[in-house]
Amino acid sequence: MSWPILTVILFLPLAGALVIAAIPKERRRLIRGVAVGTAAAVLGLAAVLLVAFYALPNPSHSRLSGSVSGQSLHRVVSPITFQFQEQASWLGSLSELGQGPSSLNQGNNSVNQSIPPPINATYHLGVDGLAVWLVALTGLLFLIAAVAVRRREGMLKTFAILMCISETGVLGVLLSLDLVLFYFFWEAALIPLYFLLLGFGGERRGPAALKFMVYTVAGSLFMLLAIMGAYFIGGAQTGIYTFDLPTQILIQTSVHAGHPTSLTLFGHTLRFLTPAQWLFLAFALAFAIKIPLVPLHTWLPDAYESGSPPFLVFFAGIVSKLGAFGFIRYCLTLFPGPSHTFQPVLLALGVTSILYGALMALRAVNIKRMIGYASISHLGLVVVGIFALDVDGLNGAIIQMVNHGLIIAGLFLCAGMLEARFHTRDRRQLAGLARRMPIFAGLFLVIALAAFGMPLLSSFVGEFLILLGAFEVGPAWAVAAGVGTVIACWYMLRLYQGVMQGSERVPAHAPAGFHDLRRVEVAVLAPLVALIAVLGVYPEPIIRDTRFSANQYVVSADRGVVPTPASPAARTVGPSTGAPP
Amino acid sequence: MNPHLFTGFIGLSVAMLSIGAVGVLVRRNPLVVFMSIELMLNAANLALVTYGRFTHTMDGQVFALVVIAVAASEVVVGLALITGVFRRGRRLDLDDLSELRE
Amino acid sequence: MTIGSTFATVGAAVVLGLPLAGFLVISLGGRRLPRAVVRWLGPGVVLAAFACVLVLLAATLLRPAADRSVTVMLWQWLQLGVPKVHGVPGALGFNADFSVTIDPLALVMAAIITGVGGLIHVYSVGYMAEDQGFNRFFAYMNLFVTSMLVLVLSANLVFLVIGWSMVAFASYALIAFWYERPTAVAAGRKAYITQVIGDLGLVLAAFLIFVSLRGPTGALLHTVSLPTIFANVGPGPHFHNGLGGSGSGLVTLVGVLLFLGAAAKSAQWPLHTWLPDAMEGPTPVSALIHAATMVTAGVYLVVRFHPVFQQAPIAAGLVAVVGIGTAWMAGVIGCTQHDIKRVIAYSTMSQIGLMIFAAGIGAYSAAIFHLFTHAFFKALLFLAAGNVIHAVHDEQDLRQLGGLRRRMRLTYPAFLIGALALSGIPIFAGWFSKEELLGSGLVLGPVTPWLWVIGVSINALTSFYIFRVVWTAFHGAPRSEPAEAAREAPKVMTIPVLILAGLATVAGFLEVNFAGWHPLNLFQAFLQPVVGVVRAHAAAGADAAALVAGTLLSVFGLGVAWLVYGRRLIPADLVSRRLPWLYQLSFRKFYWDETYEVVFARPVLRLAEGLTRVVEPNVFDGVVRGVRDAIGALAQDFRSFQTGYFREYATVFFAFAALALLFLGLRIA
Repeated sequence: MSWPILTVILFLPLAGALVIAAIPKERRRLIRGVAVGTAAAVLGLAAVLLVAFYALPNPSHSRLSGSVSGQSLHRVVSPITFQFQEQASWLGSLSELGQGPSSLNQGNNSVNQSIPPPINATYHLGVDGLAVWLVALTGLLFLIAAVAVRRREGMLKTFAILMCISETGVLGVLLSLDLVLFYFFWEAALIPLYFLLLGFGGERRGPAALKFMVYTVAGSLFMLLAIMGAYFIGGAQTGIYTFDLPTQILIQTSVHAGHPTSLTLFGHTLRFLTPAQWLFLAFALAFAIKIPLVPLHTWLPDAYESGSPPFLVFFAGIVSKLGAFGFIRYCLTLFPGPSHTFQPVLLALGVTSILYGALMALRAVNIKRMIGYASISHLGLVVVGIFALDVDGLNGAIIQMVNHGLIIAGLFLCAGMLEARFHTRDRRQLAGLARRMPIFAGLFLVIALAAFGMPLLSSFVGEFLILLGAFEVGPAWAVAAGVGTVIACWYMLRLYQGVMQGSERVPAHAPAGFHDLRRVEVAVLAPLVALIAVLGVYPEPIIRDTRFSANQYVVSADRGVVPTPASPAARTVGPSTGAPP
Repeated sequence: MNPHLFTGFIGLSVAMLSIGAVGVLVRRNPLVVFMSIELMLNAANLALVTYGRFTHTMDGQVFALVVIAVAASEVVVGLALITGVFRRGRRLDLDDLSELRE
Repeated sequence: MTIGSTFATVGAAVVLGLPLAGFLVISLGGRRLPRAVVRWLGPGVVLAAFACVLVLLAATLLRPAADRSVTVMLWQWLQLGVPKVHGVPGALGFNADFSVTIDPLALVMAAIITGVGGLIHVYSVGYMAEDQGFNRFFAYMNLFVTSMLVLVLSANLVFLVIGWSMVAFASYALIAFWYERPTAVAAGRKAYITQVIGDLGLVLAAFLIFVSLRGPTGALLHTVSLPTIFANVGPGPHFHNGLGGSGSGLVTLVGVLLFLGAAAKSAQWPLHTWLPDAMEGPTPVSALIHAATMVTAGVYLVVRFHPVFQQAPIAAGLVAVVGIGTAWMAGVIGCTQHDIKRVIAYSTMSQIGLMIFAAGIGAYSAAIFHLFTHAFFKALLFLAAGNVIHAVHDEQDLRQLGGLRRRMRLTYPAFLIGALALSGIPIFAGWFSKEELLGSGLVLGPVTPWLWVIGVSINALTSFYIFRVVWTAFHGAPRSEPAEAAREAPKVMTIPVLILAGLATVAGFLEVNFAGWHPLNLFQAFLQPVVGVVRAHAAAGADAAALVAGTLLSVFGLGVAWLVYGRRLIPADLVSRRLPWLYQLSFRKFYWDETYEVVFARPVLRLAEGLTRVVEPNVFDGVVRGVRDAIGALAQDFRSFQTGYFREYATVFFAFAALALLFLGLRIA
């Protein structure tokens, strides 16, 4: 593709925000139109990207730019390939990327102390089978959110602008292939999200927004330190100081793991973690907060409870996936060794999240809070799939990330529609609505079923593969995660049945008379439900793109395994299993 | 430069600085405090110029010029604040002006 | 080649596609679709599928016996494997295709599902005629038939699981069909959650097979294809056990996990409590799903996986013991229930327990044959009971019925035939299948012949409770006004009932086997390519004695019921007065509902409650609040420095400046 499609996708929402900023705030119809149009254009471009990605002759053909020429690295084959790459100089000069390392290597080791290395952060974009689907999901969810915003919404203009900015931030996280650029967008996405949470939503949104902000910033500061740590550690050993992700992946493979930090007390030496492990943990902390994993989750129920439904569509739908995306894109590739070392820890956290979230959802009476806990539970499953560190689990995790985006967005839209009609979020105050809202009941049923993995709806494939991947690591993980799905069935059915079935009951303070979905509401929900059904019956479109990437990430993570005959990686990957059929 | 003269200038500068500091610390009228601050700044200027002469460089005089500029802008802001406080009918007593504590 | 893979592909696609199309048209059409269309479309697609099954059946029968199984791939569904490219190693990931097997076992099941299912669809046109949700009902029914066909035709474990779970959903939707009744809603939820537990067992079994099945060379196969699994587990051309040796822990675990799935679906202990509650659904649903088809899927599963169970004697023994135990327990409970549908539901549980028992001891053909006859007479009993319920305006309590014999002159004989067939009275279908089933129990399985003794004693219980229904509901005087005013059901409901009555009378003659005398084993011969000949005959004398004993016990139960409820020579409250604990045990269904409530549901809810009230606010959020408060407290301490007196700030400033000067001066000095 000759034109920079990724840059256009990335900055289109920002341009939309500028256009909206120029419109007087009274012209609500126009503002909403521009917001919807921008989001639709992004989705259209994302679809073009999907098709173009699909049409690539062989997803595994490396299009890696020739940026790696350090003499210690030239024999290493990059395990990860990215497509549609774009690169331009940003901080530090691009030219040094190609030529600098060797000269640095040869003569300047001694002066490294006094002359700071060039920053070498570039504007580098690219996609792989993982990101391309998340970009499409982002486009879809922002479009749905834009449609779902009511024209009467107070401060519509502010909302639209902030929404567009946050879309650019999210897309930047997904598209950037440079650690500094990634961090930049990671933090940049936070700011509009904070104001969206602060300005629009329920009564307790102020403290919730602050909690979210402080939590995430605290996590990402450690990540910033780790990014710099990777830069300096890799640079000191190979002479290549760069923030470029593909290069950094190669560098981190070849660097010596370093010695464990140690502390000598009274003659006893306590050994702690190696530098790479520290870096892994810092990244993992940021991602675990974003997902969030129990016990770092407490910002989520508050935020989900008080957010406004259109905001939650993309906040819960895509922002929470960024953590899981980060685990795959950064932890598995940059720190393959620690990924294996900490595999049991992350699996345990994932399983804890599954069960804890499910139990909390079982108890919650506030519908939105319940969906929030359900989301914790589902994303715990995604983490289990990622840290199964095998092809099945990782494919399942990627599929499940896309599916969960669809499902959670659908659930929050449903909750919003109920709240708009009955002014309540308490599931006990509602009952028997199916008779007078049959269309809503049907759509809600499909989403609720998908939420606990009903076959031939989208999440079955993902959950099945994740459980299989976990089973290959250890059956106990799969059993524990499977128990979570049983509880999920319990609380989802109870929500659906409680609200839709039984004899009709609505709260006294609700406006008299309610109606089934209006056309725009159907237009918002129906595409989600249709996608849930279609991707459940026919998951091949996702899998065709993800299976190569998932394999690459697994291969990448397997570099961290000391090859032994009984290593878990040998079971699914590599020559021991021979050629696939 | 004559060492005696040098010692004298520095001594004068120290004396001005001390007087200014005592004025800042003990007086309650903001205008007087301001004057004391000006006195301290000028003590610093004197020291700078003296050292500049002593080392035969222009650095000290350049610094002194910068300090004068800063002092001028500081006076502008400070006097504006004092006038503002006075216009709101407040007594000009530094110990009374402690609302910013909270 | 067998019946021709193109033929099989087209046949399977049509059989599956017809009900699926029915479901899609009716569900997407919603309320706009006129009832007149649904009335024809709903049953029509199922009966058309039945015709197609019959064609496949005929084509299979025309083949030689050894050549009656064909597996065709319909769809390459999921493929995670990637080849090695550019030095990046490939991966042998999970692959699943939608393959179907057309073999005698699958065809028998498909014939029952579409045949009996078609009749019940026709019946439903009458039964549901007045209902608001007529279209919704047929959408779910067609979905159920589709799912069930996926389940029995699939040649891939993943699609078996998919069918397995979709059946559970359809069952849930139909149980909770009248969603304004709280009891129906609760029953649906209970059924679904139980099914999900069973699904988990099945899924784990699939995983276990996937990660540990080895081929003849000892290499891991990583497959979920059923023919491959069976070829590498049981006896075959390359005999070896791909899941560890015979009786190994691995194959036993696979067997137990499979049975967990089977137990949930077939309402066997310990996952049996949902079935009686499921009677909250409309009666045709009870007939189709909770008698003829879905609940027998567990039997199908055990029979289909018989190569695994043959290698796992402990698991198979467990299956047999649980089956016979459930059969006996359900029989005892059935004797005291007052709801006409619940009595039949417990009899279903009991009869399926017998089938599971037969599958556990290795009498696979007998199990499927009983499944076959049971589908007729149990659907018959339910539909006849449905006629009764319809006639008395949704009254299901036996104590409110009575005297219907004269008012329902077609339903009464039909119900009677069903009861006779269920009891195992000679010449009716149940007699043949039970005789074969129990005869096998005499010589096969663990702790022979004690399980047989229990099994035969169940005969007496069965005939007692079903004839208790016959006498209380149809004989005597009407005990309520609706019963007084009852009228026979319309033709669209009676004709399916009468067809089923005919089948329940004659179906047994497919398998005439009077203790080895003049055997005519048509059914067994048909299934033999799939399940093999496993029936071992006892000495003819013992066999005959068993046959006579079983029949006599059935007659004995019938006689007792007649004495108690027909002639009233024995007071009906004899047991409840003399042995109140036994009566209560039976009436309260052995307290399993209460036990599960106390052991599972309540602790989980209490745990959730505890997490919500204690752990979340105090531990997880507590740490967060602790950090916040600590920082706040620190800030509070620093606040005291801020007095607001300019003079103090300046003093501190000068003091530090002086100290700094002093320090510098000292260093220079």
